[in-house]
Amino acid sequence: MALPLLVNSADCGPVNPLQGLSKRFDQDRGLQQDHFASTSRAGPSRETFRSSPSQATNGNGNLEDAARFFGASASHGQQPHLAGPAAFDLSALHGALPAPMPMHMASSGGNNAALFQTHTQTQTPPAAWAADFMQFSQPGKQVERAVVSPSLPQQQQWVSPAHSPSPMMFSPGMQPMMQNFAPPMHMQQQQQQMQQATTQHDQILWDREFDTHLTSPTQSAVQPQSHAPQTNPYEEADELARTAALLLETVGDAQTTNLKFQNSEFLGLMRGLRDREVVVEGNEVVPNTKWAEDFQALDLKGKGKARTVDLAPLAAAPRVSHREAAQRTSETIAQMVRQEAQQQGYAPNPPSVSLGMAMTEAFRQRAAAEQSVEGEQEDPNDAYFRQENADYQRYWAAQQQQASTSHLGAAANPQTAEWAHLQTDWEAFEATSAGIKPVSQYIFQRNNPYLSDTPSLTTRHHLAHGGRQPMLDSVLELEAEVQRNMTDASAWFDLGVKQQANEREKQALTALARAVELDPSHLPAWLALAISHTNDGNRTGTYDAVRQWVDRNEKYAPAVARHWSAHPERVDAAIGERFSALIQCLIEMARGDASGVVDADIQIALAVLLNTNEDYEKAQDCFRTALAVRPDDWFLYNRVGATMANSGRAEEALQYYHRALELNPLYIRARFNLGISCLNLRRFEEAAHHILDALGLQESDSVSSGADSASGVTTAALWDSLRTASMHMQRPDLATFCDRQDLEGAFRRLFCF
Amino acid sequence: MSDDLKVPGFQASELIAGISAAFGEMPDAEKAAQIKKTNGIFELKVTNAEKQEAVWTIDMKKTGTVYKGPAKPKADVTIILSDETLTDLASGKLNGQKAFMTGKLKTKGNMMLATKLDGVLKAAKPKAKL
Repeated sequence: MALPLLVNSADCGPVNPLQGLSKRFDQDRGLQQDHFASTSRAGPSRETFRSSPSQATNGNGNLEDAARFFGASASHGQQPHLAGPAAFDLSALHGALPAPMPMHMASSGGNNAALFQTHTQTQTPPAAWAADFMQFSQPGKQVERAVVSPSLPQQQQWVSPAHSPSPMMFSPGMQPMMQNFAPPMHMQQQQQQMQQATTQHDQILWDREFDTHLTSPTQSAVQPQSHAPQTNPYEEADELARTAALLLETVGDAQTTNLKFQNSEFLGLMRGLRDREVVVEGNEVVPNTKWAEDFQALDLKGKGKARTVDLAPLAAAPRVSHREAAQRTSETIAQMVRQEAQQQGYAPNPPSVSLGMAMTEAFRQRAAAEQSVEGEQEDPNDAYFRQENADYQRYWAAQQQQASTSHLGAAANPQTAEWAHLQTDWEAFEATSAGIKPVSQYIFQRNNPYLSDTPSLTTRHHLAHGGRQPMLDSVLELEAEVQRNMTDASAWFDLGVKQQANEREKQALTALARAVELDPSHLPAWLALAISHTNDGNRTGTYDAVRQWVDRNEKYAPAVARHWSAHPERVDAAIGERFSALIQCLIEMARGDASGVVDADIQIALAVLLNTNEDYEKAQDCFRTALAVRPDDWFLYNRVGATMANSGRAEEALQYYHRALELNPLYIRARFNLGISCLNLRRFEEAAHHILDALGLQESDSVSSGADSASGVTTAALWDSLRTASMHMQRPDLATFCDRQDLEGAFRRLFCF
Repeated sequence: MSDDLKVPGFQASELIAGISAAFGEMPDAEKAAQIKKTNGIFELKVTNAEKQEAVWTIDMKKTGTVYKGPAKPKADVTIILSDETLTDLASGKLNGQKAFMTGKLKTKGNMMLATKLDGVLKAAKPKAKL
């Protein structure tokens, strides 16, 4: 009752209410920023609702009321919110009706429903047309909903369909009134616009993600926030089903013949899971109920399943018990697997056991991930993606292990195709959303011979050498090590560094990102990540990584703290400023080290930053200083060389590269850099030789199983450079080999002539 | 695909092809950054030793590609130089400013943009990795 009064009396002195509003607006913005900050690190903001269920439920329950109350006020404030994600053209939105607002809220899966709610409350409702609006709001709702839902996937076109029906309906009375309020609202919009800009991306991503998840947005319109918990358990249930199916397949033949298998309880459970007859709900496994029909068509990411995925979301499961359930389920499954093994009295079939373990692991990890989400250390969406990736990748790894078993052969191919398709989609996703990158997957090489070794042997072998010498391990060994301990951050780190050395930046990035996720306190991993980002030209990434390194560095914590208190950092500072601030910080850290011994790591961090800023001279000095401390670190030699080469001093760079190669002849990156410098110096023959060597090394460090492996292992950049070299040498025949990435041919050609 | 860029008798052909390849391979983020930084269309009129002329266009405004022939929409700057000069520029031996001062490089149109050519060429060069 009070609210309509508020609405109607608002036309006396728009300024005051606005002021009061802006105060509240600020307050709310903090909350909003919380949401946005967390979402801006990765796409969907689904998870945010879990932390504020009350808000969401309130919003939901009062949706109808809210529509009416705030419908009119709707918000010019709200409009920009929605405009932000969709388009910057707010003026068009002014014509649009607030009516769409609540609808949009509902149908956009309540994406920012809670936020919109709070914002509506803080908006000064435009007075005059409120009444008119209320009239229209009822009929408006239905139409809007229908209109909006189909356009949901198209974030961009969102605004226009919303506009077309609305002006039709509301044009007579609304326009003049809208325009009246346009000016005062502008200022609000500016603020919101800024915020929205960052969320635009999230919105788009979110919607895309959302789209893939739900083909029936209308349902989602009804239950916006229940989707948040829904989709995650969705994945879980689906994941379960998939893994169960896989398990059953591997046991496959034996199943029919071996009576024990047929009667096995565990396999029965697996069968049930696969066929979705049973579902993990809360704390136990219960028979599946009715959701199957509702979500029938949901082929979640189309995992090449011949059987469509009938999803049984654990809609009801509150998060906490979900997590416990996950843990308990994983334990149960692990137990069952062990029991089975014992009961059957057979040496556990490695694939099936590993699958069982994989499932266990999946659950445990998911539980761990969810825990960390609750702690809000890790962005929930990152966790979600990472879990997805981890699971897919484990699934795939398990898949690969059985590649040799014949009965999977047939199944593998359509799945492989589907997987490849998925992978490209996934990578496209990564590529287009430049600022927001979900953790990409690390694709392990197939048929890794080290993987079949008994783990104990290899690790003991390593330890026996008095601490790891990871640089001397081959990539395969490291990959195997990682595959054995998926959660071991240092294993991922070693793998990442080795991939860097092997000039495989993308894989290195993935591995290192994984390492820091698993263990954010692993300092060297952050440094290595910074280097990878620099090589990729990703300035922000470099900054973040070094920043993390600085902040987590306990040794210099006091100096760091001193620095940041002395130079407070503005959140919206330009990237250049932040870089210089960070550089300053590092310099102070270096100075503050009382022991007089130069800390090479600081120098390296500093040099990396300077490199990104293209301050090559200083970067070089820093690297050289670090070299003084570590004279046998071939990485450092390469880095000095690279810095020099990038600043144009290719000649001098050469000697550094040579030194690096002396220390480690297998250092592919140094060899490649050498080739590049020779290219720049127009010494094409030499360049070609070096690059070919590098290519050869790359290939030898992988599983060579004929034609298919070659292209995956060698880096395109090398082939491109080789091509350039050969063209300069006036050898188009070599160039054709480069196009085909045919190492054999290229070698022969080059050395025979 | 890069073969249609080449013009026989020009050393710069390789270069241009190299630049094109480099842009093609560049990660989107980097490319976008480069385009934003440069924001111009360069037309290169290269003359070789035999007094033949070839024209290439580097579009660093919209697409980040290289193609043979004059600029489709109008070029922001036309740079006239010799084959040799271009090669030296690309390898870093010669600096754009210096080339201009010594008269090896002539421009028509937005001169300031010509200074950015250095940056473009450098971006196209294979970078040594840390």
